[in-house]
Amino acid sequence: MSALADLARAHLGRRERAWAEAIFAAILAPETAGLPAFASIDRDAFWRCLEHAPGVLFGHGLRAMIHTVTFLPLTDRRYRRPFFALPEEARLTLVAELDHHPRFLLRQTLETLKLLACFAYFDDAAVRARFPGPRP
Amino acid sequence: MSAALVHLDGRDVRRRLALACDVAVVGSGPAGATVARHLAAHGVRVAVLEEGLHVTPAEFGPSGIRAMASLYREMGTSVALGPSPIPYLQGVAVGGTSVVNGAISWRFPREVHAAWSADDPALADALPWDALTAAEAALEARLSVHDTEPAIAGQKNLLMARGAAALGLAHRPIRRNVSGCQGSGRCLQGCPHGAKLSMERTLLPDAVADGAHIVAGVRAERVLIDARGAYGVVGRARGGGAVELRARRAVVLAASAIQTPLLLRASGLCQGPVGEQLSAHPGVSVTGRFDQAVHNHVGATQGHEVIGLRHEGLKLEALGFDLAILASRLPGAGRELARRLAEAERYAVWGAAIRASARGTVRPGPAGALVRYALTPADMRIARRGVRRLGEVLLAAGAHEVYPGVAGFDPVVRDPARLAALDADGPLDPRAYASTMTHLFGTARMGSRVGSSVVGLDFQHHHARGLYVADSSVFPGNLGVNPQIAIMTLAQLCAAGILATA
Repeated sequence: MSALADLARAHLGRRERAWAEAIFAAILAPETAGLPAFASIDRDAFWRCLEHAPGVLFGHGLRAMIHTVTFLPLTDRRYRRPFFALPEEARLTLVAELDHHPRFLLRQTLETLKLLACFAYFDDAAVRARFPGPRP
Repeated sequence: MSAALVHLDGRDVRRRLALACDVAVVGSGPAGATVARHLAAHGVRVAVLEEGLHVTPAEFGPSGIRAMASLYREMGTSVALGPSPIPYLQGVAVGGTSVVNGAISWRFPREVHAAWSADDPALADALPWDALTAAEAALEARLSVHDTEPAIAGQKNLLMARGAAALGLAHRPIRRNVSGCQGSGRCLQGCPHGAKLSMERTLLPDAVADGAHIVAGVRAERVLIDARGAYGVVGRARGGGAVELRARRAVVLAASAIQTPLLLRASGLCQGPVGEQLSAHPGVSVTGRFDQAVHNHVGATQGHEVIGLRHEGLKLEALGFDLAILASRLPGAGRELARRLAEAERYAVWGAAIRASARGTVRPGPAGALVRYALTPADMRIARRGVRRLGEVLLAAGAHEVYPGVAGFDPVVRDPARLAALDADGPLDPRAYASTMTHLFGTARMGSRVGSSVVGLDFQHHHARGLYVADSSVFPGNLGVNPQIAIMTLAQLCAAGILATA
């Protein structure tokens, strides 16, 4: 019942959020450069914003994008598993490939998810505190 | 402050509510605020209906996502459909888009006025140049418009000045409507210090002091019209109640070039090119990496501009963003992005606004506005030139590499010759470029010819007496510069016309 209700509302369900976060974590891969890991940050406010503010069309579009990236590896003989089930190295390879993909829709999907990943990451106060900058 | 500025908050309206005034103004952005202030100052009982809420600086979100959720229409996810979907941004709050813009103040360009007048000579009389300049001067004084000071500009703006000077391009500090700016770089999230003199801090309080009422959190749904003309507006409050606002004298639409044509259509006014002829300033951006720290998110959000390329249809601006936006503009995904994030302070992102010739449409869609807009091949050549110029200025400013962000072209460029090659042979497919659209115009254009315009030279709808349009919908085309002051100037002329019809 709740999964059907989520579909109708254009909100991501709990499982879809987990899929999205796996993609966000791979796009940013912050721990590979010594920055706080995506899993360590507070994502609650980000998801609240995403549930309430955007239009319905964006909600459905986001779901389509999450499903596309999650299940795209099933069609690739190198992977044969959904994104969330891939080892970390394969996830990093896949998002880097999508970033330069010749197909516009896949490139655009990655670009949109990258923007959302950045919004989620920099919503965390501890992350923002890592980039203070001087006063002008 | 909220209680003093806003007469009624729609969140509290759960049942049907009837209100009355002399003039109902839909929208509290630069156009609506200007009309409200001018009319209230002359003793007219004005009520302003605003869909958004009054958000104070203390309530502005600390991060990009929270600001977008509370201050932007659809959280900034609105998209114009075409060969390449282009996001467009609109504020939705008391003060409208002035709450989230860069506070950039340009006067009405003389050459645009000449072109409009050449196309429709009656416009020269309806919008006399002397009246425009006088109104602009008064508005600039009220909004404390002045050059961005070097002390709060921040490195990104100072570097753009250096790069433009090295290339011999005309450039200047951006003139902005601010007072006491601390260079926090948060104009686009709502100024946390209240230094941006946006409408809810200037013209709307002026109007309220003269007796205007602001009704926030009520979305206008339809203009009430009978055989005698417009006599009110009906809307829906956030609390669920219906609101009927009766206007004895006039209804003024100032809801933006997207919402105004939708309101006209919802009111049965589909005559003429309503929702047609949407024009805009699409933008492209280029990221550059410097050896020294730039701290792109610090300093005046948009504090310096290159104006020497306007004849090419380009205006370059230094852009300051929330860290999330900056990060999203860094090249790569995965390890490459992480490596760049770790040195994010070294990157600058600059943008080019394009005076595009494309014309789009705004129609009611299944979930709000359905906007269609496709850049022309000529526009794409300007966009491609814009990427080249941005890269050249970045390199001249000391960036040791730039990232054009054009699919199918070099991801990293260190030599201006490669930028020239892009300009000569690079892709013209809009899907190869990442662009964003701001400054929307023309969807209820003004003109003397009934069939080819929606409102007349007095801003009054051709087919509904007492219904005026005061926002950028009436502009016959785009300006090539940031339009806030021009919008306010024309709105003031609209208000003066309403007074004259008494």
